[in-house]
Amino acid sequence: MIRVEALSFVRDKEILKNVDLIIKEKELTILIGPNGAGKTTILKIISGIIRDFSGNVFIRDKNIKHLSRRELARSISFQPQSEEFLLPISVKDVLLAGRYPYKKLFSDYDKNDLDIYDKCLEKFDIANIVSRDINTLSSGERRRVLIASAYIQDVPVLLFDEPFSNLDPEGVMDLKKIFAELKKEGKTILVVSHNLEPLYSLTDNLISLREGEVLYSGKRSSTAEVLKKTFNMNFEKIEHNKQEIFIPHEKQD
Amino acid sequence: MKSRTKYLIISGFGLLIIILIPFLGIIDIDISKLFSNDPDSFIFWQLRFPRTIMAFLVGSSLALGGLIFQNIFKNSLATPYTLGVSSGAAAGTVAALKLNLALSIFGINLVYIAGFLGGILSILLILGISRITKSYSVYTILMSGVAINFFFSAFILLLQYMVDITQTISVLRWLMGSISTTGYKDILILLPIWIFFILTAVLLNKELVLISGGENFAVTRGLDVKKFRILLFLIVSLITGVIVSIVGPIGFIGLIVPHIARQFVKDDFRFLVIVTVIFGGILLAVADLLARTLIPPVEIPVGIITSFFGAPFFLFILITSLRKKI
Repeated sequence: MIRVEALSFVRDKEILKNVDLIIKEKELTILIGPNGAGKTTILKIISGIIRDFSGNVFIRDKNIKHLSRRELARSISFQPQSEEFLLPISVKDVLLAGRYPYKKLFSDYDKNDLDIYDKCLEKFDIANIVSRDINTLSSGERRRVLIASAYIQDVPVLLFDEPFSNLDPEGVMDLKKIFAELKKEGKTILVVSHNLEPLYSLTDNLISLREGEVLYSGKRSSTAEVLKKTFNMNFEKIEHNKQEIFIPHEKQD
Repeated sequence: MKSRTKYLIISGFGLLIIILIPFLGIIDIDISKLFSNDPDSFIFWQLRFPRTIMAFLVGSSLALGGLIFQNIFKNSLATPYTLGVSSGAAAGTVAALKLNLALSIFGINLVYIAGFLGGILSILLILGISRITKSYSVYTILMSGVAINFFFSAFILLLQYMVDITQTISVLRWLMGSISTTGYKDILILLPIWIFFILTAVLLNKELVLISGGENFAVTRGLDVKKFRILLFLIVSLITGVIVSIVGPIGFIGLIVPHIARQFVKDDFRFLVIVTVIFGGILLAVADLLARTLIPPVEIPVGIITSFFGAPFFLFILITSLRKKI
């Protein structure tokens, strides 16, 4: 369980204002909010990228301020919206980097790491592209490799920022299956997304953020109401093949 | 072919070239006279062998320094030479020479220390500029490098012009980058630092991969990026400083070799480090062979050779990398 208490963060302006949150273990939580609401900042704080915040973040009752970078990387992984690799880097190197938090200084990746690596290749069906430079992959392949790189970290908590952006329908279907499996394995998942559809059937909880403040945090229910408050627009709920879809309408009044 | 076999073949091939080079030159060496009291033996053991070894040590260090800088700055144009670390080290060395500071403290010649400090100064300038402008972009860093290069060149010219004119010619010759005047003494100084440098880079290959993936990538996988970056700057400045104070600034090896090595090694960074080291050593040894054989009996300073062929190659990389983006 992740517990966020009185979290505030200022950079040029107030980005997060006294945010309290609970992200439940082994459940999938979606974090929504308009652009600039502070969603990505929350992910960056929980994953240890941003450290000059005020307030506290606890992961399984341990304050992340008291965890070393390695310890944190053993409990949490973060996939940003676009991971930029400016130099050529092979898929193999990207994946093995996920084993780094478990390695002692100067020790090489050993048989155990390579076994996990092999399993990961099979699970994500990427064995045929391990020698490729990640920058030459299609966006679907790239996304799969990056999620595999989070998975190989073998952490209980996974954070994702807009994982469905830039994917074609096949890529979206692929990714949906991967999320379903991650959830079945008992991972705690927090996803920032504008797009509720692909993961809605897997979603347990919803958090809504607006201008750095929490508008809603709790079970997935009355979603249309939450969306309305969050985006200041009306949403219509449509059910199709047991799938719920929310369609935005301009506000009438 | 298994990648391990492939790299073993590359290493063996490299070793063969290094063994072969001292036999080549204006005077043919008779192998049967190698261990006799013959001029051939002298030329081989006292002249060509040590300078080939020196060229290998220097070339491999410059190439590896280039690879490390490219990974830190995530750009294939960032090397100790292009960012002004070499010219900072050169300025430090010239200052020490001109002011007759060739003393030694605890057995370490002050000239080397001055070279090291000059290199560190350049790094501090670049980091300072990046911090003030809050921009760690390639543009900022490369532009700062250009300015730093100009500044230290002017500083060297000023010293050349103003101080102790008797040393001007020897300093000028050294500034062109030359391995011809080195001997076993210099090898003994460089070798321990070289071993330390190569070992550190090989042992830190995991961290080098992480840092090349960018700050967020590295941090979320548990690396303390800031500490590690400082460590890398220190060891690269150390080896660059010592090399520059021995053989002068030699350009383009650090730029070209990692680029070539990346074409050979695509899947595993550990091997990229090793292949970069081997290719760098071979390339400078071959350049030095050209330096002493191209226009006999004149010896061209090897820095002129590397820049002469390196500059067009630099442009080639620039053009192809830009074309790829369009």
